[in-house]
Amino acid sequence: MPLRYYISNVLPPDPPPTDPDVAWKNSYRLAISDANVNAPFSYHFEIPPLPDQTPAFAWGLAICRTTVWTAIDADARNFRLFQGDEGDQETLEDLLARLDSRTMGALTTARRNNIRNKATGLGLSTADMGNTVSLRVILQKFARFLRPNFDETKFYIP
Amino acid sequence: MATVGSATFTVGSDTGIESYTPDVGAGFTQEAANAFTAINAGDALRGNGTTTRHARKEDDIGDDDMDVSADVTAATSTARLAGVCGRMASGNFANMYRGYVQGSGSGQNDLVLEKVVSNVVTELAASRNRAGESTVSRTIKLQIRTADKKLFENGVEILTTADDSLTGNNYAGLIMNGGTNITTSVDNFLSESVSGGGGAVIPKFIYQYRRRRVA
Repeated sequence: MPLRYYISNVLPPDPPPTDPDVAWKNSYRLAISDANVNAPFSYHFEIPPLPDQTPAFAWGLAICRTTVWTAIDADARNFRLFQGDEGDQETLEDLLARLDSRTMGALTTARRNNIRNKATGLGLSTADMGNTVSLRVILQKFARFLRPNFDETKFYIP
Repeated sequence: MATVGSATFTVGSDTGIESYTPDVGAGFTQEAANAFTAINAGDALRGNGTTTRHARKEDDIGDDDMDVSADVTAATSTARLAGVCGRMASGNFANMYRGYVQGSGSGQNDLVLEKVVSNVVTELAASRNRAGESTVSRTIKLQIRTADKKLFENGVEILTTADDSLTGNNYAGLIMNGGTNITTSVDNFLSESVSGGGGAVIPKFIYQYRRRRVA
């Protein structure tokens, strides 16, 4: 199953359900978690906390693995970070190699603008997201905004 | 690795968890009265009621790096879950890493990895809609190290996180939302220290001998 990175909104804990046989989502999580994916679906979140353990930002980073992306992509709270340019990579090694091999300049204008507009909307500077910058560096810019010591080689789904 | 605590929950008659004598190490403290019962007929631990509860085994592992494992089952209802906890605080149930199997409807199961810090729960990673009934027993292991926390199923790494926001707690335990029957269960609980120190450490061959005798 291929891997993708998403920027996704943080959701707060739900109130308790009235039916005791229904799962209670009592955790902070990303909107990715609530996607109605009718297929095997795995994810790993980066949600850095404040000292009181509430999320430090209104958004987080996810790496996801599935074969059915429809529900995730239909939710406006989820932003596919590389807009399709990452291709269908099955392993983290292949995904990072792909990101190393592609620069912002190699993307379509639409994809490039979407990524930069997303960064701007989240408060990131796009001054260093020029056309010669690799997509792996773009990943690092989003991720290290969340957590400065983020290591993309350790952010994976086994 | 060194065994610090173990519990097979084998009893001659149904026994509340705080009255149960583990195979190795100290007893358990449950989060609420009557939350867990070791069931004679099921030879495992059952959660009582429909609220998620925890129990802490009162062995100080001697370090906040640890392995915690158990054989777990969960009924197919999405509210049912069973798993293990690590880096639990002494004296409260507000802080821990926890990994568990969860019901996901007929024919499938979820595995979830979370942290709880000052009662604030954050989902770290999950694998959802996995093929296979949640009612089938599996061994899950929560491996806690400074560099990462991993959840294994039957020896295979399924989930990981680099989160290290919770440190300094040396206890392990379990989590369950059991409903009222043994379909959701925890069995063969094991807590291990990484460094070989802490708790009632016994040679592994004696631990294995005791387990074979009980079985």
